[in-house]
Amino acid sequence: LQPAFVIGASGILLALVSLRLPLTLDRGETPFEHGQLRSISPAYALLTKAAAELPDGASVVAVTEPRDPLAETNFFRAAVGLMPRQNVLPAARWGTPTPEYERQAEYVVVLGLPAVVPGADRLFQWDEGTLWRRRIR
Amino acid sequence: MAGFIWLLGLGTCAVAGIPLLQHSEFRRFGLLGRGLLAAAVGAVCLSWAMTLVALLGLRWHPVTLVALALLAGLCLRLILANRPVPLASPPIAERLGLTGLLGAALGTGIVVVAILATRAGQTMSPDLLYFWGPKAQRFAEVRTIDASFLRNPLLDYIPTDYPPLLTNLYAFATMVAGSFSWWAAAAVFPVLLAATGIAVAAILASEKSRTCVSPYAGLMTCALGVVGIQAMVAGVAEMPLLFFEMLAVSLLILAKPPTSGLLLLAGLCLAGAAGTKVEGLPFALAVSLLFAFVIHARGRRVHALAFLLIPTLITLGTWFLFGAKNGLFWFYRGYGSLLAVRWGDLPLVAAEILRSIGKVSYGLPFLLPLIIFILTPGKTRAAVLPIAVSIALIGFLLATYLSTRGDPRELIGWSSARVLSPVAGLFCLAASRRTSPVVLP
Repeated sequence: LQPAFVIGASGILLALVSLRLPLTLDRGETPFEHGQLRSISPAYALLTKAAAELPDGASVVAVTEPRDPLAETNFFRAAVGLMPRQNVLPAARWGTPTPEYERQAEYVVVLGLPAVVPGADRLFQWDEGTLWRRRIR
Repeated sequence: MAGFIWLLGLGTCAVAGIPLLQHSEFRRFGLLGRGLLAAAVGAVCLSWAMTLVALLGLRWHPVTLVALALLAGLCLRLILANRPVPLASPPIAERLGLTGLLGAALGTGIVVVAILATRAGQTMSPDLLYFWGPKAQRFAEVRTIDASFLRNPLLDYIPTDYPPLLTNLYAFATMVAGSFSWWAAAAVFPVLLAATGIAVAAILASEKSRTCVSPYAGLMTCALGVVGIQAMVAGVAEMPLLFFEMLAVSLLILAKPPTSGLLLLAGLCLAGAAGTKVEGLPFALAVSLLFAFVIHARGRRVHALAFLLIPTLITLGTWFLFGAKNGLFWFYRGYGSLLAVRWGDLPLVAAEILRSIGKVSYGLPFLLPLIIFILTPGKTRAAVLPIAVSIALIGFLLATYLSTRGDPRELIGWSSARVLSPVAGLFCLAASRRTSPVVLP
């Protein structure tokens, strides 16, 4: 009976996980599209699109609308991963705003609409947010 | 297409493992089993070569790295050159019985579910996005382990002392493909889940019939797959760690006293585990010490210990030398606080771990293999190793959580199920070590 128990246990595990997941043949737009962390998905999509428009070495800061230092901490970390050719500066670290770094950036990626970045021109708008370039002071 | 090339680039590390796995002793594992073991050995050699080149202050180039890894692989082969080889025959071609077929089908089923879930964006870990991926991209771009990147105060959330195997291999694949692929990195989870199931089945089938072995390999694949999918481990180090760990223990629970070749192979897999995640080192130590002093024959303990631990000492030693040379670290930072265990928190921590595990399909990936092991008739001495290692791993995890500063509940909530996942696999391996009426000569 032992092999039957083993087969039965494997069957139970397979059935449980298959029933629990919303299994789909569709490929997600982002690697977080349908998971528990789907809230990361818009940030991933926005940063990927913005990275394609930014020149190599450009200084960029990633902020949220409305402003939220905790969300911006994770947004900065995601930007470091998704913008390897740019110089990503933090708008917040460990949940604390870092204006000293934020104001150094030439480009601003804003997650969420609507958004206005004072003293900057909007370059692109997507469903997830906008990309801005600050005017030379 | 870029993702496919990225995965192929990752697969080229198997080249470095071929010389060792060509040894006649390993024919018993079959072509597929030897190929996957060669990938494990090659991954260890390639990562060590990359760390060594970085330590020497030289730049990486894929061709020279493969050549250096291949040289390391040839040296490993030379270790076995003059050692007596037991008569080993390739696995007997036999038809899988019904239970064998069902075991293989269920193992395949969980891999298909893992592929679909990863493709749909349900399993990727945020840690890939936050630190494994950024490190790999940066290292590939500057063609070395970039100490200034690891030292950057703005990136202080990126662990600097984590062992280098995964970031090295991801950086290598990125150099080969020309860019990092998030999707391909996520696909490493289902690919290695399948590889683990197939390799463990091939190793165990060298001694028992495939019909006997297949249901247990299928159960192990299902248990690891369910935990991996629900704990979202795609792209990060959990699945590579499990790959190395399950292979190492499978090699050491074969009934015959292991030869130097088997010990070396297991030692290289343990080095792979230690090079992949921080908790791989206590795993390698627990397996080596328990095997040498509890399982192995008395007269050859030092010999066994040397073969099992020296690969880990060399690979991790190179990494700690790199850290020390660049003023980054001397050892794992987290280990220093392990002695500051707060035993009063034990009920809270234990309850939180059980609650966290319970969220993964009601804890069944852990419970079912344990129940099957307990109900297994004809348990053999070989089952002692996986069970003892499980206990050691649980002890290490408890000590880690009990020494965490502040409230450990959040840490336990997001980490305990995946960090404990080797235990689910080890219970399956222990259950597979029952006396069987069908033993091949």
